[in-house]
Amino acid sequence: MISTENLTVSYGDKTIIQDLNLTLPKGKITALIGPNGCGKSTLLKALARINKASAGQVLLNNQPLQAFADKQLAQQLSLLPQILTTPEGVTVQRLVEYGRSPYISHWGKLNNQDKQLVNQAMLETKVSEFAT
Amino acid sequence: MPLSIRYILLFVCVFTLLLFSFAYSLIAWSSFPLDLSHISAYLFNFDSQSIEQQILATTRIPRLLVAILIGTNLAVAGVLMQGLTRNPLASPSILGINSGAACFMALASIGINVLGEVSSLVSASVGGLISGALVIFLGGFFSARSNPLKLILAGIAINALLIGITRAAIILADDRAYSVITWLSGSLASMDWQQWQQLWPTSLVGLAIAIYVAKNLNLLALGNEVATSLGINIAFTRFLSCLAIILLTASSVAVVGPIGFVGLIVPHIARRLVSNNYLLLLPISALLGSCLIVWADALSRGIAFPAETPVGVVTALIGAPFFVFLSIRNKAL
Amino acid sequence: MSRLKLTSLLLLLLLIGVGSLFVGASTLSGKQIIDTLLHSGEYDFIVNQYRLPRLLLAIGVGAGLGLSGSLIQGVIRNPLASPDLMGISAGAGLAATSLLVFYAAAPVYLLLLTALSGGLIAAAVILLIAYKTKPTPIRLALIGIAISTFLSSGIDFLIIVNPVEMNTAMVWLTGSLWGRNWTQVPIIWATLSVVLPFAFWLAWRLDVMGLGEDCATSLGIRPSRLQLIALLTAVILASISVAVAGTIAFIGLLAPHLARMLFGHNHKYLIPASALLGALMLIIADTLARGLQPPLELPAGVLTSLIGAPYFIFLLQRYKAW
Repeated sequence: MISTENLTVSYGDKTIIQDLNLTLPKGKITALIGPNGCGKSTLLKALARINKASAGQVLLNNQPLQAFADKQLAQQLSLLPQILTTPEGVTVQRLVEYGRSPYISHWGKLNNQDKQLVNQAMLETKVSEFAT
Repeated sequence: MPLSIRYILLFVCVFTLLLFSFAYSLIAWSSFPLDLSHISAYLFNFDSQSIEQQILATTRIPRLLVAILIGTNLAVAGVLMQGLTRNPLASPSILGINSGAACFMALASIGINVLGEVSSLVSASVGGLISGALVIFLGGFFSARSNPLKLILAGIAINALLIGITRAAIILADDRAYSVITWLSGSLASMDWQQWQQLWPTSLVGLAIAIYVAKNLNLLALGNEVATSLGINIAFTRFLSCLAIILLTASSVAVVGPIGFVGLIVPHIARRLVSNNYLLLLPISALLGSCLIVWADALSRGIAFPAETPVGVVTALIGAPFFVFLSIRNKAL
Repeated sequence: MSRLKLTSLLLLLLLIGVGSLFVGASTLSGKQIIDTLLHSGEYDFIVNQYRLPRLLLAIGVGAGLGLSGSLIQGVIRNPLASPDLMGISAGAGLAATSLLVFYAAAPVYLLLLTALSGGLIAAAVILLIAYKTKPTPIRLALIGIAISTFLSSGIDFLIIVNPVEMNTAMVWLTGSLWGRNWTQVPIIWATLSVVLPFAFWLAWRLDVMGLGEDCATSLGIRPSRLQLIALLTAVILASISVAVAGTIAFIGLLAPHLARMLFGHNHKYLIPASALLGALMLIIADTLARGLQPPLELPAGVLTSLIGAPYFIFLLQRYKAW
C-alpha cells in the first residue's frame, strides 16, 4: 500500500506538487488522470523514489521510502516509464531478464528459479515467440 | 557617420598595440641587453659597428617581420575558411592543412620525395591541399545533411593520422627527432633574411587574392541563391578562396612549421569588433593576427628564459581553451 | 558461442604474444627462445629481461586501455568516448611529465599517484562541463578533444622547455613500451587484478542502465552511484596505463568497438573482450614498432594512431545521430 504525507516535490524553484496527502488502495488499479503538465509523471517518479521529495514523505506499507535499501525497494515497487529507451542489440528474452535485477546476485547470474520466472512472464504476455 | 569613426578609432588602437608589441618583442627577454634607444638608432642612423644594432639587423628584425607576416597569413586564412565553410571552428590547423603541409615537408626532407625534386613550398602546398580536400570530403561537407561538427572531427582525425605518419617517418629515417618536434610545434627561433625572402612573395599573392574575393564573400554570406542572382560566380569564388588559403598556410608552414589556433581565434575576435563585413574583417584580422604572433613569440622567449619555447606551443596553450569555450558556447553547431 | 569466441581470442593473444618474442633486432630461433625461457642462458638479457617484460606490459596496458574504454562508452553511451578522446590520458600524461621534469628521481608510487590525480582532475573537468552544458554526444567528444589538445600542448611545452632525454620525451609524447622492464610489470598487473572484479560487478548493471535512468532506478540500481564507480574504475585504469607507457592513442576507442562488433551489446562479454582486444592491439603495435626497421624503435602510440585515426573517420561516417 502506497500513501503520501504532505508530499511536496519541486524542480529547482518551481513547485510541482504541494502538500499532497494520498492513499492508494491496496489490491486495486488506480488511474491518475489530469491535463498535460499537471504533475502526473512527477508524482509517479516521487512515489518510485526517482525524484526526491522536497518536503513530506512517501510511505510504502507505512514505512518511509528512505528506509528501504535500493534492491529491497525495487523488489516491492516498480515503475515502467512512459518513454523507455530500448538499448541496441538486446533480445526480448534478455530485456525480460533485466526485470530480475533486484533479485539476482552481484555478478548478474540468473539461477533456475529466475529463468523459470522469466519464461513464465514471457508466456503470460505471449512474447515467447520473439524471445531471441 | 559615427560608425566609421568607431572603425578609425579601432584601427588606431590596433596599430598602437601592434607598434608597441613590435618594440617590446624586439627588446624583451634577450640574452643580450637591448633597449629602445638601440631600436631608434637602428632605424635612424644605422651603425654597422654596434653589436646591439647588428643583433637587431641579423636576427631580431627578420624574426619580427616573419612573425608579422605569419600572423597575417594564418589569420586571413582562418577568416577565409570560416567564411567558406560557414563553420565557426574551421581554421587551417583544425582542418588538417597545417599538418598535411608539415607531413609532406617532413617526408620530402627525409628523402621520400612523393613529388620528385621540388621546393619545400610546393610540397607543403600539395600536402596542405590533399589533406584539406580529404577533410572536406570525409567530413561530409558536400553531403546533403552536412554537420559542422563532423567536419571538425574529421579534421582532428586526419590531423592525428598525419602527425603519426610524420613522426614515424622522421624516426625511421634518422634520429633527429628532437629538432623535428621543435619544428612540428612551430618555431620562430631561427629566422633570418633568407626565410623572409622565401615567405613574402607567396604571402603577397595569397593576400592579394584574399582581398580580391572579400566582397564576393560578403555576398556569398547571404546564401548561394542570392549571391548567384547578384552575379557572383560561386565556384570561382570558392576556388580563389581555397587557392589563397593554401598559399597562405603552406608558405607559413614551409618557413616556421605548423602554428595552430591563430586562424581559429583571431577571426572570432575580429568579428566581434567589426561585424561580418569581409572588407573590414580581413585587415583587422591581419593586424590582430600579427599582434598575436608577435606577442606569442615574445612570450615564447620569455616563458622559460633563456630556453626558447616554440611559438606554436604558446598559441596552442592560449588557443585550446578558446576552442573549448567556442565548442561549449556555440549553439549553432 | 560467445564463450567460444572469447576462448579463441585468448588463444590468439597467446599465439601472437609468443610470436612477438621472436621479433626484434637480433634473430633467435624457437629452440633458443624456449631454452632461454626455461633455464636462462646466453640470450637471457634479450628474452627474459627485454622482450618478455615488454610483452607482459603490452598485454597489461592494452587490456587496461580497452577495459577503460568499454566502461566509459558503457556509462556515457557515446560511441566517440574513450579515455584518450576525453582528455583523461592527456591529463595523466601531463601530471606524470611534470613530476618527471621537476623531480626526476620520483619513486614509482609517487608517479602513479600523480598520474592518477592528473587523470581524475581531467575527468572531473570534462564531466563538470558535460553536467553544466548537457552536450550532445558528438559535442562532448569535441570538447574532450579540445581539452586533450590543451593538455598535450602542456606536455610538449614541458618537454621542449626542459631538455629531458629525447627518448623519455618520445615515450610521453606518443606512448611507447621502449625501455620498460620488470619494474613496471607488477604495477599494471596489480591494478588490473584489483579493478577487474569491479568491472565484472558493473557488467550486468551497465546493461540494465541501457533502459534509461528511471527504469534502472526502479530495478534497484542507483544510476549516479553506478556511473561514479564505473568512471572511477575507467580513470584509474587509463591513468595507470599512461603512467606505465605514456599516452597511447585510440586503443581505448577501438577495442570496445571491435568487441561490440564481435560480441554484441552484452557487457558480460563486452568487458573481457575489450580487454583482450586492447591487449592484442598493443602487442601487435609494439611488435611492429620494434620489428619494422630494427634496431630503430617506433613509438607504439604512433602505430596505434595510424590504425586508429582512419577507424575514427569510419565511425564518423557511420554515426547517424547528428
